[in-house]
Amino acid sequence: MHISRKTGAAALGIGVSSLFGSPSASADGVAQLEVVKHTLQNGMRLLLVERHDSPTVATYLRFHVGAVDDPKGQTGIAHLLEHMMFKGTRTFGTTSHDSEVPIMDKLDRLFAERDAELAKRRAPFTKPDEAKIADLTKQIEAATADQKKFVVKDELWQIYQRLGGDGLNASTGEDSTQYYVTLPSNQLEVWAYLEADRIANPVFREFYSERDVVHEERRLRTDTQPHASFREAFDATAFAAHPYRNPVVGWPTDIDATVRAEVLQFFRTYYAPNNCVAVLVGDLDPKKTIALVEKYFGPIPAQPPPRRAITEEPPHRGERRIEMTADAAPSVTIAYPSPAAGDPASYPLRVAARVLSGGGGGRGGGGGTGRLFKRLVVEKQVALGAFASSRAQRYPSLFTVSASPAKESSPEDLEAALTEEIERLATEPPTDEELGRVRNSIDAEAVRRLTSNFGIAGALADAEDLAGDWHYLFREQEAMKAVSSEDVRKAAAEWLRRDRRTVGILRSEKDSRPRAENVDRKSGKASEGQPQ
Amino acid sequence: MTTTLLHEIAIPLVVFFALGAWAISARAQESAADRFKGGRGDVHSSGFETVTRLKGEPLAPRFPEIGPASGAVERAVLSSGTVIFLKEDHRLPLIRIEAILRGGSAYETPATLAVADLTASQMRDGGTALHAAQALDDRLAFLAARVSVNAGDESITASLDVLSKDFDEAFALFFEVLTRPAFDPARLELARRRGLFGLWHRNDNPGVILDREYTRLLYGESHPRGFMLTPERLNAIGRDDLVAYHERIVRPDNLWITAVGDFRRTDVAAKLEKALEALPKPAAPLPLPPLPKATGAPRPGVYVVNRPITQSNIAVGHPGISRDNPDRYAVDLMNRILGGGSFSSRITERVRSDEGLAYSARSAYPIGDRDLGLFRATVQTKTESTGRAVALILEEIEKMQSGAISKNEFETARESVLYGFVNRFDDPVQNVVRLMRLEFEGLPYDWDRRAFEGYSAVKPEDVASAARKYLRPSDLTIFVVGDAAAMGKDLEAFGKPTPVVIQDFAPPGGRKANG
Repeated sequence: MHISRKTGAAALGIGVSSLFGSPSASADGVAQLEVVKHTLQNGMRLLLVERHDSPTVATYLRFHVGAVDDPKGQTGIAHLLEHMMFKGTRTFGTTSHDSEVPIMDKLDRLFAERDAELAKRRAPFTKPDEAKIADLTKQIEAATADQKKFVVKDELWQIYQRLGGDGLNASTGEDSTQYYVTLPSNQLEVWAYLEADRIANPVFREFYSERDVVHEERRLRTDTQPHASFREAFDATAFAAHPYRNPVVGWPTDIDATVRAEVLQFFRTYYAPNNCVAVLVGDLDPKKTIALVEKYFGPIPAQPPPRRAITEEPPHRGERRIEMTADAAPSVTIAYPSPAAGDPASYPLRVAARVLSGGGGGRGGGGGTGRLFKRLVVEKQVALGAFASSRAQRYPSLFTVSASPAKESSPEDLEAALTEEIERLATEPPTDEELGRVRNSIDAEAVRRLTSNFGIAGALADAEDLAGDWHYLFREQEAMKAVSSEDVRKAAAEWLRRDRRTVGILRSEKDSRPRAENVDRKSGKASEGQPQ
Repeated sequence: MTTTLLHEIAIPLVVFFALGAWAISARAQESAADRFKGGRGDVHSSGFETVTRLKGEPLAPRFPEIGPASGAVERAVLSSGTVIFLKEDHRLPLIRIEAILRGGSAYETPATLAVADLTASQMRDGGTALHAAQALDDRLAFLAARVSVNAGDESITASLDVLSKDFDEAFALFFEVLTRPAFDPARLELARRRGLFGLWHRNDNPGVILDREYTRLLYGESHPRGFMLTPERLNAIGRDDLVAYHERIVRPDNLWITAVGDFRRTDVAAKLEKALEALPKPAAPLPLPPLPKATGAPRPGVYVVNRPITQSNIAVGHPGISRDNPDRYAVDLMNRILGGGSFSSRITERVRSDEGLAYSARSAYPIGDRDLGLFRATVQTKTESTGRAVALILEEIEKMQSGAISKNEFETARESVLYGFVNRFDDPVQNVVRLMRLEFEGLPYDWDRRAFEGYSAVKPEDVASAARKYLRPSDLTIFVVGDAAAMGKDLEAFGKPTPVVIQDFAPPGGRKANG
């Protein structure tokens, strides 16, 4: 259960052309894909693709809810809910749900009391009652032990393993949440039964220990990773109001303060069949599969669509800057507001990012063919690697360029060189050769996406969820390929402006302290790394 | 938060066997009376019974095979001595080639360290006799062709992935990369600068430190996995070293090639035959030093790398086994129960699910390595709970080593392998590469079928005896990267911590502070 930072039809153009014939090579060398779409009475959308090469089926459930929907003070709740969805239902993960209910209610009360008392430790004018904290902790342990008599640990996960499930996981992004597993094709009915049951009847047992697990996940991925901490601070600067400013995993005290009732409320608001796309790709019979899905998901009632209170980012007036010094590799990041996926201006900006970033090249990053590599890495030697991307998300996002400075260059030199290269897009638009390269890579990626059932399932779910129609896969590919040099020039001039951008500099502690402190003089080479 | 310990009721083995029905086709029909007996996980929910009713039989894996049959892989030996594996796959307009050679870091000494890696990277990045580096990159990118060359422990691999319409040109470029690299000095300098940058920042990530230092400690400094690259060594490598290395290993009798995709077998076989004719025929077999063999000597004790972070990165383990060990399938099932089976395993349940001490809590016991692998349980937990997490892991290893396993544990581990085996062969490219790999490693083509049969034959008592034999609590190394002062006392409970000082490289003279 992990966090994917940016989901959506992201950086890559996906494309397939035509509707008929299982994925196969057509005469013109373009891949084809046949998709069966079925909408249930309750509004749940089902997409099916038959591929009989292997007796397996990739399953993918995608909900239109993500970290952008986290209410104030509850950042991270979409992700915490994703974790809780693995804790079982009224019939799974328990030998007696009725017996658990009063214990869980009691635990909610005990934790609320203890959390309130613990919060006093952090506030200057309040004094915690430490004896009360100790007593509550004892009561919590006792109640947890009581519930444990009825809990069947991680049973849902175990069942999937025993079915031969592969790639079992879920992820939460800013715009969506998805649950997936690849199964032997004769286990589809069990999948339908399990997934419908957890959408209809989840039980958030063991909530408080899972809350701690999520906080550990944050420590692992962000707090002990200087680059991730920097990216978090950068996003909180580049977005002043829009919720993309918040980390998907949540701010630390929000994670610690979220309670079970809030997660349940969030679940009830967003996990409706009419807010879900299911995609199945593999060795399946569409008619039988539709009947199975109808049987298990059909009875779940639709819900009125939730009111989404997403604050729009107001226009930026003036450049924003952020600097951090850490025990980390230095980097420079420059980001400009960019339009939402599907906006006509999004395509030329995505092409522009590919012109800068390039493709090909070997390891070491940066791409051997983009403008950034040729000018900053090879010619000027101010960078060791440089990348550009334009995020295509549900809401307006960022066009981002980042680079690692070469030893001889300061972050400021690199910032100036990056700026020059970005602004050059408006004066020296892409050549035919550059555009040809981008277009060919879009076509090739479209074909490569079809090499696995799971890849097809994810791409279809992305498009269907984002655009409301999986054919967006084709439209996106065509729109990207139709971008002209003049389109890029105009978009660059309009969007990549200094007065709207955010500049972030991550300095290395190594660069700001004397060399003598850097090197461990005690250990010679021979004993280096070995116990002293 | 703490909770009570798991109820580990180890039922007598007699009862255990009496429950019977180990064959995966036979479903356990538990009576209500059984439900409140049994070991860990043996009590199920009512939903589980519904699942048992709906569940399908395990599907037979489609093992890749060599032969003339449709769907099979064609194997041929070219006149140059090169072995090729071909499979037509017309579903998508794509062609993928993978080549493999003997070479890599396991054959290196401290004096030749990193030559294999740099040679591989510069074969790809340094241009060819016919195309300058930038021209090559530009052309491959224009064709959206992916070419990569990588050095591993015991092999060098090169691959091409291209749309079939551009195959002829990309194929020619790929063979230039493989056989006629130019090793452009400017590109080599860029790679060296990137390598140095990586060395200066090799201690930025605590997980990377743990993995590197734990591995070095257990393999020791005389094993290639214990060698360490330094800026001095990286600076000492010259273009000549790469040219000589390439000349030495890229030869037709040291090459295995697969091609899968939208082509006609005969066409590709002819193309490969022609491409390899140009290579000189070697007079004598390739001289390679023998591959290293780990001593397997344990390093029991507590080791600490001090880093100012809020979360400790912990590894607990000892030297493991290699792929020729006849007990390997039982060892794998045992490890799945201990910590390798994600949420169904004991360490994950105790450390993560029960106590909320970690996001990731697991163990690995590799069974597929030629040389001895390393058994290790790993966890990352906030500094304050370091001692608790170590104690839980030790307890679970000891309990696994000396106690019984439950019916549900055994069935879950076994079924997740046998029901899931079918997933291993769903990618035609990987299937063909797999056959090539097996031949390259000197293993039989039916290695995977034997594995399936091997797993199928494992009995519960085999798992129990594998635990007794292959988990050695007295040999355990406890290795922690974290805030030494803050967790010092907690760790002393497991033995006197030995500080491990890691070298921190820095750019000479520092980087320019301001422009």
